[in-house]
Amino acid sequence: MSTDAGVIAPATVEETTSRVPLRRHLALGIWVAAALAIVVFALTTGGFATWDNAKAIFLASSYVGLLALAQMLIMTSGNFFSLSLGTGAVLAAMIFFSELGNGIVFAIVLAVLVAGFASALQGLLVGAWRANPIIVTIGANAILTGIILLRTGGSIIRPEKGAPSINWLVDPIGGIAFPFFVLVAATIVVQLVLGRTRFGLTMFLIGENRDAAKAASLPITRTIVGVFLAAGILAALAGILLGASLSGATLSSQGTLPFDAIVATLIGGCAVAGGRGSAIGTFLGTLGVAAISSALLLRGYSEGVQILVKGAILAVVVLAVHLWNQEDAR
Amino acid sequence: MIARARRTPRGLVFLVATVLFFLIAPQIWGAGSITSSNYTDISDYLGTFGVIALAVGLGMVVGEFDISVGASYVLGGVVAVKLGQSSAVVGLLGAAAVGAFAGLVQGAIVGRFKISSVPVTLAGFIIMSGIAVTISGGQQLLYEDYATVDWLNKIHLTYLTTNGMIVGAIFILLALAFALTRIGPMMRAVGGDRRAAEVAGIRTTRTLALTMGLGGLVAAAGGGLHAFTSSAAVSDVSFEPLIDAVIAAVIGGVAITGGEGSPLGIAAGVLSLGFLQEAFVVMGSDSNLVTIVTGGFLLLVAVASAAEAGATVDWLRAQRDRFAAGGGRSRTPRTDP
Repeated sequence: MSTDAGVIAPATVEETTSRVPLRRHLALGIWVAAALAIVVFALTTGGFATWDNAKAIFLASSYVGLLALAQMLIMTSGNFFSLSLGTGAVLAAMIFFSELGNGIVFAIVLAVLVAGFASALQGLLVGAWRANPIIVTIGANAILTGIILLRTGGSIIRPEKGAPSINWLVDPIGGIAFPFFVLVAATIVVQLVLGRTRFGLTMFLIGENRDAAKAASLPITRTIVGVFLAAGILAALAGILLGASLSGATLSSQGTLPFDAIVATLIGGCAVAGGRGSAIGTFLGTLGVAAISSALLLRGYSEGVQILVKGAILAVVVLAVHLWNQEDAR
Repeated sequence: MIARARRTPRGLVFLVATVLFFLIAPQIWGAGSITSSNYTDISDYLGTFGVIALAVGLGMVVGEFDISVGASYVLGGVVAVKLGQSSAVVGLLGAAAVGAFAGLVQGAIVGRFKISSVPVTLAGFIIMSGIAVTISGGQQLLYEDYATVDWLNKIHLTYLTTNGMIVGAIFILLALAFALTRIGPMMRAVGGDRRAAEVAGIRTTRTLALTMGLGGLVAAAGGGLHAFTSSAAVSDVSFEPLIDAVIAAVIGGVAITGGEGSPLGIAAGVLSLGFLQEAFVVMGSDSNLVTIVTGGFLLLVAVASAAEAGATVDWLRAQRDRFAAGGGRSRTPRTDP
């Protein structure tokens, strides 16, 4: 039996990780307590545990969820989040409406391509040169916002008269709104890509340690451009579906979606430093946030309290995730 | 970081460029002429956005990105209007106290747990926005002490508004503090290399907490000032004011990676944006062009300060040298070490 480093190393790793440190118990405790409190709170709310309310929660989750998946990809690749995705979503919806006369498929494809391309360009700056993602996406957001306002003058873009019907993008199937099926499908696809493909693995490695990934000659630029492209496409889908349900698109129709999505991503257990995240976690995080908002709404709490509770939960989760992931050697 | 040779400050370059643009562009295009009201607009812009830029910029100097100052600004406005109906000073003090407390707590968490400021201050942002919306009931709160409102909007020396002068004074005070005390070097050290700063005996957690506390204080008091000036507090939950602030701080010479920046630089950044915006106002052109231009600035700065952009520059230089050496078209394999 050889005693080279390759054999010894895994054993040592196993030894150090087999002792679960106190902070992990603490993190798990916080996590379980918070989850329990929320479940009890929700279930004791009159009118919460009904099919109608569940449908409302599904619909509310759909748009946020798609944007949250986009942010999860960016965060997991170690690039915090994009502050231009909300505007990208609006841009997609506007293109979708103005091209609807040329056929619905063409309109969707063009909208998705343009929004994806805009995001991928930002990914190129971040991937090739390691430009700061927050600054790049703020700058890109300003440019996109400026272009949209120049072209539209701030007015609402609606489908032209005689354009094909887009009701099927809104109508429920078996009681559940169509956008929710899109979210479920997107979650499954993203989860498979993360777990089963070389691209997904590379993305995790870059997010975990970009310098190491670079040393290992992993395709950093290509992967990060891919991540931003995928994020732009997911945002475009959210924008088109939201636009269809509002039957119009304007910059203000994104509302608080962009940061609701970031909140959902973080609550779904994504590590802000990168390297850890999952589509299913993000999906559950989105549903969780929507469920809490719904319970608070049913109990008659004001908008302010709903926002506040969201923030408090985020604070708890961020701390728990941090305790869980923290390196021991400090 | 600190020992680096002094370059021309980025803020000054941008300020000179935008002032020249403001003075010259309307002449060239023969559209509109500059009046004193254009200068008061810029003063008002400083009075409105200067504080958020200062707060965000200070956070960036210590290497943190404090999202919550956007909410401190909004909450400060709401608190100041609620408490300040009979005395504006009480309102401002209340706002400042709330902002300082929020900043201190978040800074302490960031320093103590060594956790990224982004998620912490995002939570802080949302919690404070929630409190602001709860206090205001989602309504616009009117400030009815019109004597104060008039005083803040008063024009002095033809060009300056009171609110702009107050914010300008805050910048100058902080610049003095940076110049005369150890605050500046300490903050830059914590932002440049935190572990080295710790080893050098700087109390990093305390520095972080105090910096973010100061940022929260300035942002909330500035929010109060803005609410008084516009005689209303609005509790919108939005990243919007934050974005202008980041742009101003970054073109004002604050390093995206931390460790560089000064109050005067940030002031220069804010004034640059003010002059740029006003130039477009004078020319009567679409204000959205300004948004596009500033966004472009930001991308330029992001790329210029990107960690790995140097490699591409080196590669381009190598191509040029190879080309100059006459080997441009030859497909010889690379032999660089």
